[in-house]
Amino acid sequence: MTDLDTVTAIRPNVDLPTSAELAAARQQLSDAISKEIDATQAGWGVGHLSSTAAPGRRRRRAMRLALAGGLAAAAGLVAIFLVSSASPTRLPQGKRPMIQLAAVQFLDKAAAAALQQPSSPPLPKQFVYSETEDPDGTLTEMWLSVDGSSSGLSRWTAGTGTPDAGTTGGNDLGPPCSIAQGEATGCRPFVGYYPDLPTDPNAVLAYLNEVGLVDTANNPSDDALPGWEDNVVGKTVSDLMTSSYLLPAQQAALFKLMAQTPGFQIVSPMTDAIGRSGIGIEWTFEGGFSAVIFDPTTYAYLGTRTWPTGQAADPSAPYDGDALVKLAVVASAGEQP
Amino acid sequence: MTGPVVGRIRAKQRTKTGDDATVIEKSWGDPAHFGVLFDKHAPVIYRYIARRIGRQGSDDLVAETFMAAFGGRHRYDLARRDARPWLYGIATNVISRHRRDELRQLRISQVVDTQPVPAEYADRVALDVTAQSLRGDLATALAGLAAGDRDVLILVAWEALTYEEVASALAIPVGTVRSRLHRVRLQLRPVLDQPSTTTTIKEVLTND
Repeated sequence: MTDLDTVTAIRPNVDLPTSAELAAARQQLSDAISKEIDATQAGWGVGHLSSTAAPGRRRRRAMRLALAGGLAAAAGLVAIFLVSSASPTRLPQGKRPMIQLAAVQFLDKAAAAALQQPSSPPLPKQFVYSETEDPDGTLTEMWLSVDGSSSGLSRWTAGTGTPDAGTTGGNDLGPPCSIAQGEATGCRPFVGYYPDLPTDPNAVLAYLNEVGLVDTANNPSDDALPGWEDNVVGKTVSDLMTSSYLLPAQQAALFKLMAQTPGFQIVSPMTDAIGRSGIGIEWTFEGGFSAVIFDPTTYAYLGTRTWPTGQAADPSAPYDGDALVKLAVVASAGEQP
Repeated sequence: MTGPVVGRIRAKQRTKTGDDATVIEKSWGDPAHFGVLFDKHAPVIYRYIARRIGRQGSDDLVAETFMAAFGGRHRYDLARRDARPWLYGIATNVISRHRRDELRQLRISQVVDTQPVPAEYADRVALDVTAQSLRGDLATALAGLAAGDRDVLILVAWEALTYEEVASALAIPVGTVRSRLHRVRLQLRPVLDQPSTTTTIKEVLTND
């Protein structure tokens, strides 16, 4: 390849720069790094929402569970998804944009990290306790029966970002019904543990349909809605992670399901509702943005953020969401871990 | 606490390898890590830019390159352990917005010093003679190449990137790198086939 050698020979003679010559560029990068660290540490979580929005959001989760005893639960859960019969075309991994491949890599790591956790299945009569906090500081505690044989319970304490800060409330999450009863009566149970939730990501959606957590067949629209599948998967993973005990392999399957679903993108670092720094895996649906947030180091699930339709996924914009503060298994409803 | 705390999972830390992909992955959570990448690669990226557009203004383009890299670090493919091709690719994009400067530099290069041919080239003297005699025509020919073809040629001939690294840097298939180089050779042949061209220059690049 003699011609290339000749081209090499006319290469301009440039010495490597001194550190002084690079100082300005280094400073510019350092400033950008500092700016991003400051933005992350400042937190975006508290007090952005108008106070009128608070009560609805505060009680939304408990309300959704309270509806779980009947067919209304299907509406309560599925209304979030606004499903369509046509799912978006799946692109082979090699044809996905880089931003999606990075999300796939991250989710694969989250799945691998989940598998490193000890498996400790709860006992049938126990309760799964979860504690979440929203951007207004409202704390919600919830107890869900492991096997659906007892009523669940929810309690909330209004946060400082609400007009009625400090007030408390709660719901009895009954009457319960087991999965078997549900099949016979149409009752939709909402339990704290799904022993049969597949560990194969390809089987997860079918199972979630079977137990009534999603209803991908009963679509309100025949039109293909872009991002529908992302929304179903993202919201379902969030719901399960914030209110159920999941075996390590089940968590891994859910993260792998996300990795297989087109449309998830990794976005800039974002804080959760209690200010923890994380990495957001974002999707868009019907003009709105949502993200599942993971710990950047441990890949643990931290929480969710959702920006309403018409609002960009902007760190400074108001948003809805929950941070998972605690999740444990306890002996009875009302007992704190 | 009687049960597991899913929200506080602490996974085993990844093995520290110290390669670029590890640094970038760390910078996802702690942006400060990205400074390591600058300190490691900025000098070479600066030299690459300066070779193409001249020293003047190269520091600004280095800053532009690393700012773009920092902003895009979440899209970095962690399978690429060495970030150098990625940075070369970003720098090449930045340079593309300064084509006029590059073409001016190529005109200037007809009269300025070029890098001495390294001693390991067996026929260094002959190569030097050839290069000096052809410098003007070759620089003009380089300026006349399509931008994408020139990018490939320079990354291979000046920066010693492998075909695979060039493909990675420019986000094109390796086959495209080969075909572009083939096209470049055809275009440069009239210059290189001038009577003064020596035929003793040895193949020393590792790409073939």
